[in-house]
This record gives sequence, C-alpha cells and structure tokens, in this order.
Amino acid sequence: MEDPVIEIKNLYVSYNEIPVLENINISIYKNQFLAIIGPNGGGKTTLLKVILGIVSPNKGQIKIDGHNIDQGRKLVGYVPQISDFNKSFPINVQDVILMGRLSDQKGLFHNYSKKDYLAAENIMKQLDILNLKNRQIGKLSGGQLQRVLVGRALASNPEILLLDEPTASLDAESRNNIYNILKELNDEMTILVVTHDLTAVSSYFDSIACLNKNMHYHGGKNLSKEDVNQVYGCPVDLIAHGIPHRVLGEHEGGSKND
Amino acid sequence: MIEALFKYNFLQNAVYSALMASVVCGIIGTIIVEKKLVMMSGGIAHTSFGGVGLGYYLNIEPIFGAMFFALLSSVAIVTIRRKTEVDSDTLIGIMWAMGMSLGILFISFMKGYPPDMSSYLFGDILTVTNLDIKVMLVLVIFVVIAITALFNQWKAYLFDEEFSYVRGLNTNFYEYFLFILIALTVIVLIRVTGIILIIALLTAPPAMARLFTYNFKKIIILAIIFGMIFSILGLWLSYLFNIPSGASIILLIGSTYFLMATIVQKVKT
Repeated sequence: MEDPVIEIKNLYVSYNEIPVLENINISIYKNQFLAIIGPNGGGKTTLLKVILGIVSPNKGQIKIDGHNIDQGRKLVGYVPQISDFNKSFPINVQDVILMGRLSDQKGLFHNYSKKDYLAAENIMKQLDILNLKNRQIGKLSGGQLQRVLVGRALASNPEILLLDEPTASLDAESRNNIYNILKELNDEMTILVVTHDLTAVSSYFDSIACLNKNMHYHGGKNLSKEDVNQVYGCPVDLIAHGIPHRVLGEHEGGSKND
Repeated sequence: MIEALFKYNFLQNAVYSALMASVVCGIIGTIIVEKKLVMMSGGIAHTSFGGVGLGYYLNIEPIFGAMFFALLSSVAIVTIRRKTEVDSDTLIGIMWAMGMSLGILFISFMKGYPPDMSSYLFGDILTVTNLDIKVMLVLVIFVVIAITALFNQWKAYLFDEEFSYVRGLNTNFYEYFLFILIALTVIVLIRVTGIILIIALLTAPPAMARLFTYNFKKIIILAIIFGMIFSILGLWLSYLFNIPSGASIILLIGSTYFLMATIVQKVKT
C-alpha cells in the first residue's frame, strides 16, 4: 500500500489542561474524500488547526506527505469557516483569491504577476464566480463566499484541501453545489471536510470518521451505529439518510460527464 | 492667512505638520479601523503621556519620552495579549490610566511651577518646532515605506491572520510591527491634536473614505486627502478665530463626517 498523505499518530491536544483531542490515529491516503463528523466542541476544528500548524499538539506525531508540519503544510489548502472572519473588510473577490498566491518568499514591494492573475481568473471561472470578481466580499451570498474561500485555497495549488464546515448555514442548493465542486476537485486532490451536516455525508464522501475527543475510523464508510451513537451521545439515525442517496452512490466511478 | 504663511515660520510648520499627520492618519487610521484596534490605539496614545511627564522631569524633549512610552506600551500590549488570557480591552483600560497617572506623578516631582501640559493633551499645531517637524518627517517616511513595501502582505494579514499564517507569513512579526507603527503614528499626531484628541483624527478620515469606496487602497488614499483638506481648514479656522487648533480640526472633521454619512445614507435610500 502507498504511503499516506496525512498520517497522525497518537495525537493529544488540550487547551488550558482541558483535553480536546485524545489518542487520535488516522492515515489519510491520496485522493481520499474524507468527512470528519462529530458534535460541536468535539475537536474537529482543532484537528484541522493542528494539521495546519496553527495549534501545537501536546503529544503525538503528524506527517504530511512524509514531511513534518512546517514543510508539509505548504501542500495544504485551507478553507476556514465563513463565520470566522471580517466580512466588512474592504477587499474584493479577486484580491481574496490572489491572497492564496502569496507566500513567505514574496519580498518587498511585491506585486502579483500576470501568472498570478491568470491563475486566479481560471479558478474563478472553474468555480463560476468570475462575474463577481470585483465585488466586495460582504456583498456575496453564503454560497458565493464559500466558493471564494475554496478558490483562495486552490490558488496555492494544494495537494490536500481542508475545509471547516463548508456547508454550515447554506441552503440545500448551495450545499449540493459546494459538494459537487469538491467531488470534481477530488480527482486531483485529497479532501478532508469537517462537518456536522450528516445529510450529505453518505452520498458524497468515500470515507467517514467520527470525532468527539476520540476518533472512530475504520477506513471507508463503515461506521457502526454504535460508533456514531457513542460519539454523539445519543442515537443518530445515520442509515435513514443513506438510503435515498445510495442511488447517487452507484454513479461514482461511472460516467463523469463534467 | 496665505500672506502670513510666507511670513511666519510657525505657520509653515503648522501646515507641514498638518499635511504629514494626514498621511499617517490615512494609512494607519484605515488599518486600525479595519482591524478594530481603535481603542488599542487610544490606549497607546494615553500611555505616552507618562513619557511626556518623564521627559519634563528628566529635562529631555518630552516627545522622545512619549515615543519611548508609546513603543514600550505597544510592545507590552502585544506580548501580554499573546502570553496570557487577559482581555485586550481590560489591558488597555489599565494601561491607559496608568500612563496618564505616571505623567502626572512625574510632573508633580518637578521643582517650581509645573509646565503647561495642555499642548500635549489637546495639541497646539501653532507651536510645532523645527525639531518636531524633523522627528515627524522621519517617522512619516518610515511608516509610509513600511506599509507600501509590504502592502500585499499587510492586506492579507489584516484581512485574515490565520490564513496568512498558513500561507507562511510571519504573523507574529506583522502584529508587533503594526503596533510599533501605531505607536509612531501616535507620536506624529501628539503635537497636532494632542493625546486626548488623537482617536478622532485616526478614525474620521477613513470613516469618510469608506462612504465612497470598498477598495482598501482607495480608502487609504481618500482618507489622506480628506485628512489634508480638513486639517488645513481646521488650522485656518483656528488661526482666523483664535481658537485651539486641535479642537477646531477635530470638531470640523467630526461634524463633516456626520454630515457626509447622513447625506450618503439619504442618497442611497
């Protein structure tokens, strides 16, 4: 078997001595489309922040494509929660996407190159937001803003995409739109989505992990009802959501007409 | 006033300092408004009063004492904020009043009549000295270069610190650097509007500019232009009616903002 793209071993994280993540072990492989579900406060966002090097773990080891976090996180594109940042900031869609092209090597009096602008434009085309190019980000709908943030992450040509609650507070149409985009991107990159949106989980993802301080993951979608119930602390009807979507599930690997 | 302008050095200095103040206000003011650091900047300004007092007490230029205190407090705020859980708001409240108290304490230690502090508290643009102008010029050039040389990085940092960090930007450096720039801006403005009135000069021009554009760069440029127009107008009014310059600039710029905001609101609806 090939080496995992992200390998987490024996990871412990706590904030002010309150444990948030305990003994997390998971290997994520190339082109996997993994959902991490779990209740609020279950440590999902923290896990992403550890992978990105924003939060340092108390114990444990993380390898990204065989590198440590400092090196490895350059391969990672990050899509934060929309609720987390200042939407009134005077910046337009194009500038947000260009931000993804910025890196520590860019020196004094840096200007984005023609190549940067071209890359940004292609991404905007791909995500169908080119017509919003000059719009201030506070004047976008939730679904549009989410696509802009995906675009910003894509601008750095990542091999791995991490998304934090990309469909929270989106209507059903925008939600499906985002997942369809991700499904398409999944051909080229490994995608890890943190969500508590159980409705979409079984149809789009190829694997599901459950996280509530501890992680339950057996590879693939085989989560036992016991796992989910244990994580959420109350019975959750996972199977009922699965059935209507299973029709879509058979499409996978079949015709890809887009 | 034009005639007098050519005749009197103090009037020329006043105009120069008003123009320079407008430049840093447009740049740093826009940043602190967008990054919601207005109270933080007010705190740094008031803490610098301790330095003014120290300067008088040690018989060195009070502006250098103020600079020392402003830099010290800005670095301290960032460091304490990072290392502890103390809310920055609380921290600012404490340092704000402590700085003022230290200033009063140092002045009370002085023998003889205490000096007149009101030009530092409320600003007196007509008493700006040649030395003040030189200090201001150096600081303004430094602030302008610091922001323009790293403009894209600043924009990314200000908009989304976390993402910038993930992209490999040294956000630690930008945070400290930003607070140092705020401290230097405070020093540039002390002689113009005084410690107590600084906040309005930092916030009103960007607030006006924001009524007309959503572009970060354009807000800065527009804020600089507004700052220049209203500080010169305020200076002229203060000369004409013999009223304190800091107060006349602030009142003019503040009331114009409210007027503009009302009109823009009316036009839009």
